[in-house]
Amino acid sequence: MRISDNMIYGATIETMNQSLNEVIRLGLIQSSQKKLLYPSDNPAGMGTALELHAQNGSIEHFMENVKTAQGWLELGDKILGEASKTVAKIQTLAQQASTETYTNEQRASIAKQLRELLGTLVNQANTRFAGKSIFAGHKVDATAFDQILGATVLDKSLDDGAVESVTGKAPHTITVDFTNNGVVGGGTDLGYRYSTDGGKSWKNGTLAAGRQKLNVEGCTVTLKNGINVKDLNTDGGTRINVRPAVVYNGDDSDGVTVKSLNGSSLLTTTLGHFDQNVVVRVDNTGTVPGPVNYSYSLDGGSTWTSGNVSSNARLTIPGGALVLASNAGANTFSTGSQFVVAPNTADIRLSISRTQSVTVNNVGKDVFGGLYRKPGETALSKTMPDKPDRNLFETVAELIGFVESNDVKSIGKSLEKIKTSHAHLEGVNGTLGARVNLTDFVLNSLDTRKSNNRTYLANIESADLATVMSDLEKQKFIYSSVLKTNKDILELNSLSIL
Amino acid sequence: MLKNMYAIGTSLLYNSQISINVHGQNAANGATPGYRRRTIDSAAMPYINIGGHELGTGVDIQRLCRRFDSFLASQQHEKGGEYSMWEALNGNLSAMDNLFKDSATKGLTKAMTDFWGDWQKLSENPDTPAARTGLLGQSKALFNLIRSKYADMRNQANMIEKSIAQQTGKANGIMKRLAEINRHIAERANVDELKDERDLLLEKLSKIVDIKAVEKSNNQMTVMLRTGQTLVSGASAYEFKYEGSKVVSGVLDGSPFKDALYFKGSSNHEYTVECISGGPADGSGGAAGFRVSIDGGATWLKNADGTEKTFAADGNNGRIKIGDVEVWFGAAGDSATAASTNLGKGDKFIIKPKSNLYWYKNSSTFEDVTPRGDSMDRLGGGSLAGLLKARDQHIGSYSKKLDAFAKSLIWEVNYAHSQGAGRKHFTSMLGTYRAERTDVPLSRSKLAFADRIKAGNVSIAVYNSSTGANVANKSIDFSSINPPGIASFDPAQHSLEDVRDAVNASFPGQLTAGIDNGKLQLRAASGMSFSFAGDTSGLLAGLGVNTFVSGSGASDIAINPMVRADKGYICAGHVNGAGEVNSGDSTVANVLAALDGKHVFFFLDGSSSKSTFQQYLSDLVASVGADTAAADTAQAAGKGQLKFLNERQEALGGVNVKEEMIQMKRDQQNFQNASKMIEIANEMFDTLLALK
Repeated sequence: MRISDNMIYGATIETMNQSLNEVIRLGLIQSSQKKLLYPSDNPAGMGTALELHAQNGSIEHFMENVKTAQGWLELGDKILGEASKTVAKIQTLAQQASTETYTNEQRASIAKQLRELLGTLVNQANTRFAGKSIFAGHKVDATAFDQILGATVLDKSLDDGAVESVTGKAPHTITVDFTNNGVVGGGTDLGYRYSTDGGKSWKNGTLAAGRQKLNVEGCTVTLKNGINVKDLNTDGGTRINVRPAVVYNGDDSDGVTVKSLNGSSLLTTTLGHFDQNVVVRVDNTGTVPGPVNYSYSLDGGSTWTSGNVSSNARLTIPGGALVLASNAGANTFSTGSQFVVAPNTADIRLSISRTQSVTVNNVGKDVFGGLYRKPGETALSKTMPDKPDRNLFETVAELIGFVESNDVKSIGKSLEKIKTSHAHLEGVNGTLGARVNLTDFVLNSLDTRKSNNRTYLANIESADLATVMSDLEKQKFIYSSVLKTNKDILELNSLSIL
Repeated sequence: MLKNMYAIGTSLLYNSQISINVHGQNAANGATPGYRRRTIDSAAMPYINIGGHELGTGVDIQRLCRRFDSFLASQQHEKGGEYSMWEALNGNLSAMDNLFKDSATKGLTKAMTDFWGDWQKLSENPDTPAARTGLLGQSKALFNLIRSKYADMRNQANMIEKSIAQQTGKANGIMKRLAEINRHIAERANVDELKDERDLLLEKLSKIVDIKAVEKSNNQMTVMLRTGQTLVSGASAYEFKYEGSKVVSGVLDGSPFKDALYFKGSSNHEYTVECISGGPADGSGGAAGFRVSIDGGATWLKNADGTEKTFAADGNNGRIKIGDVEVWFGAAGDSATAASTNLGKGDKFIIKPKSNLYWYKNSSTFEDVTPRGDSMDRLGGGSLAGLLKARDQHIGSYSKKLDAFAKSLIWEVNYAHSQGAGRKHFTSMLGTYRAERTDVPLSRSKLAFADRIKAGNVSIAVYNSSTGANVANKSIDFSSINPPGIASFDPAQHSLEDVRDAVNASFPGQLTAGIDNGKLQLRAASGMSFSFAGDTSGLLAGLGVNTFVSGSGASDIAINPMVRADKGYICAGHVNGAGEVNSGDSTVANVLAALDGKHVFFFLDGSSSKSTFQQYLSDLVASVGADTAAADTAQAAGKGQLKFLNERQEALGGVNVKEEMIQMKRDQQNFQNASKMIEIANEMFDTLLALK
């Protein structure tokens, strides 16, 4: 083929550029240690690489969460372990106090120790992790428990609910015995006697007719209106011990509120336990009990799971069911009716993986018991009403009352209760311990996944340094050869031979 | 006989001078662009019969040959056009490739991963200001990055516009000159010089648009686009014009319609509007129906259930949103006045909401040659095709994808965020999105996210500011709005004014709602405050109430100014069943952090897809990479083919100076020989003369 001068010069320049481009490309790879720099280097690989980086990013966040969760849980675990030891000490002391052969002075000394141990328990229940109460539900700013005054009512037909409230301060249990039969707030005055030294000495007092409040030594005991009180000799009498109590200031997860969003007047109740809001939407029109076609949403209406049918107006949803019933004649439901099942929430949940989260805190009243003012109510009530023997704070508090009033029989009854509440405490401790184990396991598994992702990423992204360096040396050599050859060609091309 | 000798010598003397001139000219112009070497075609002069013998009379130059292969040239034009197209496309795509470099470690992927991570951190510490400050900082970084990437894409598109205008001018200049050359060639005899210029210009033009050049028998070159439009014919040149957006009317001859179709907005698509049932175009009853296509009529837009989507013609007050543009009918010459004539069945309009390249036959006849999809009847090669494809099919598509990404990010974050409550209740609040019309149902109010709002219920919890007690916790009741008298909110029936009235009717003495410049405003009564307790409709997110993000897409995504001014309004918790908002509640922060892995909807060009945010982003980056890699490969392949053709043309017509030198040496030799010949003849004549 005929060669023109343009072809010679053109070829020279092109071979030089090609070789130089390759040198630069390899140089870039060497300095960044990546063979995947631009999306065009490997489009599908780039897509995968981005996903893996994002996954590792979120794994790191989960791992942080797990470590924080471990902080919470390990602290809770430790505290409950110590609380358990405290309760064991209380049990031993109670055992001793229940011995009939013990003197009042010995019991008084035990009572002092019991008060200290109650104080210790309250401090333990008020533990904070990084400034946040771990036993107060979502109310992390609050002090979970406070010591106040409460009352134990000893009467064959009355329970502690006969006392509405107690205010004031009392360093020692005040024992009140009624000396008249009558009705509180009724037409006659009611006499009573009270002691602040365990029955050694007594003072007298009168509850005026029509009144409910007793005043004893700076404390005010408000009794329920209309209750029957008995004197010492009638049927065992009515005795009130004004003794310490512990009130819970934190959050609860007891109630569920069902809101009807668009005016349905059906009666709504729930079954089960919910830990997040569920919106339920009725998709057909009819009368109770149905069948009801419905959908539910766990994200406030953004996405719906539909196609559910219930034949008995019991709409199954995650956590339990929403039950519809007729309400004083109104028994129709129509398409588009929406209800929100809104539970009282108190769990602090940290996500430890895409699908799992762990609860790191506790609702103190469900662990230690005590008294609680329910949202919407004014009076305090005892927590754990269906399993009162688990109520540790109330049990210990009333025990102090019995010990300080030298009521050996009642002390004896308390022993079983303390055993039950101790077992409950240890049960919760066990749950926390299990959660700690879970977090260890999750942490390991996250770490493994992260490593695997890193290996996979390295295959796609990273350059093999040894190969790159040798390729670069080779290419530099090629470049210098090209330059030399071109120089020779150009020299030969000159007219000097003619 | 001797006379013949003289003739032979003279002819050689003469020819070698011409030859040396030609070869000298070749050698001098070896590097001149477009110069093709000339060679000499010589032949023996006619023979004469002397004494029964055939004797020659010398050598004669038949003609000077310009060494150029026009068949090769037409192949070069084709390959050159292809190569230039890929080169222009690749150049622009590489810029996009560069935009997404390092996405995992420094770019959008990293910023977004950190954004979700900061919501996780907030869920660990919903009560500490530090976690909120960190979240705000990271959000700002992410939103800035989205805006800047989008702006970079738009800037690239703008630069392309400038390049297109410049290349169009260049093409027009070349076409004019080609026509002039044709005219000169017709007038003159020596045309090789003009042919050099012409072939060079054709090569340049083939790199701008894909041409087909045909030489007629009288040396006239006719140049056409491969799709058939004539560019140069004889002494006339046609023209390209790069013009802004317009509507091309295809109203049928017998149609009663004498008004016009108007549009607002810009898009990288062309929209074909075809009337399928005649009727009024002013929004009155029995309105004309039309269908829309974005691929020139091959397929028509469909509804979600697969049936063809029909639109009802309307005037300026009822502008119809189709894809990226709003369309309406109006009086000819006045877009604000309603159309007075009816549309006829079959009337067509082509909406071109972008600048396009037009070939003009004369001032009133033009054709759009801008590449559209894979259409074979539009420009297919040359840098103009590459630039237009880059602008419309690639950068236009990438920026729309990024916009769709941003829109879904804004919506999903806001929807989840508006369900929650912050560290403090509101005493007053103003929405961020403006409804253009406050008296029409919200679905038609031109709110940025109007199409995502559904029927549902919004709940508000009102509190006594001093005691903190919850005094109300219920949904807004719309039954007082009659018609339609339903309790739930329905965007197809309720307007922004209805929302305002319903709030005022549901929370008398507690909340006052108003409308300020198209935005919803809520104020608590003195001594009261409020938070939001759940929204199943998306109304709050759609109005920009209790939201985290403001903006309508990738161009203006930003943090809601209310949240930026007071981070206490960042919602980590929610109003729980008991009406409380507790400091350790991280329910909503957890939901937001979990958006990381949620499959959400993205809407693009009338269809929807579902994936996680990262998957969508990865897909966008991978498609940029794949398109760039494909263009790169095609460019390299095209380069190889073009190089091969160029070399063959060069082998034919390129100058090799040494070769010319050798020829010149020979010519010098011939000249000396010719002189010698004449000398010999002279001597022989002298001899003759000396005879006595």
